[in-house]
Amino acid sequence: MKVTSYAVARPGSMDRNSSSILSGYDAIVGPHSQTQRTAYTVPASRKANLEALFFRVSRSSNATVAGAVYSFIKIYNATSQAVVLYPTDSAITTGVIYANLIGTGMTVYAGESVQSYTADGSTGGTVYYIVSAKLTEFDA
Amino acid sequence: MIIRVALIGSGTQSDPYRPDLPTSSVIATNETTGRAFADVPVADVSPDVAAFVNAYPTLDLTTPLPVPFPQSLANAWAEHLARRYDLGNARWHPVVF
Repeated sequence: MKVTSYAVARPGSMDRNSSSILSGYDAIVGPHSQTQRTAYTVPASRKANLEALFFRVSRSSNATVAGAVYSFIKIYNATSQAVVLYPTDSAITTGVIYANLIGTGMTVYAGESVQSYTADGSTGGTVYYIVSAKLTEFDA
Repeated sequence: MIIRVALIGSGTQSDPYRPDLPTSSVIATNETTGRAFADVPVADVSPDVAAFVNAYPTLDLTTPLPVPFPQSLANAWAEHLARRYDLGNARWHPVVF
């Protein structure tokens, strides 16, 4: 007797209509209030793997008075949020304040939004921010 | 595509300055004028909005548009995003500014 299975393995996420999402911000700016730099929202019926995050923040011209300089990434849904990274520091003179490259295995679900922000509470001076994220979106 | 959009928010931790878009990468902002250049996925921009943006190119974050962004296009853009993301009550109301 021939036995036939109708079970078919579901393709992996990378083979389910996947697309790459590159989200980044790269600029030198002066002191500023909290400002969103990137946002990526997962549409209905999709998911995304958050594969890597990168931050580099360096003071490019001296501040008169150093305040908190930060960039961070949050994941939001309709009712709550999770802070993924929130490095913060202050420095009055030029130089790298912090830099991180992080590989993540986080899955982001439909309706959730990956957002990055920067702020600088100093007086005077400028800071160079690079904030980026790499995701792969695919059918849920 | 790069679009000069209005910023919403007040710059506080609970209400940061931001474009009213589900997906974007900001290139530059001017909190004083309330404008930002944002890189928006082409799929998130309806053809009529893209046509408006192409018809009225903007070079800085201060000079006002020669004509205001029509409310009918703003409504159409909001509907386009709501259909594309299909996330129930989630709504965005971006404005070319």
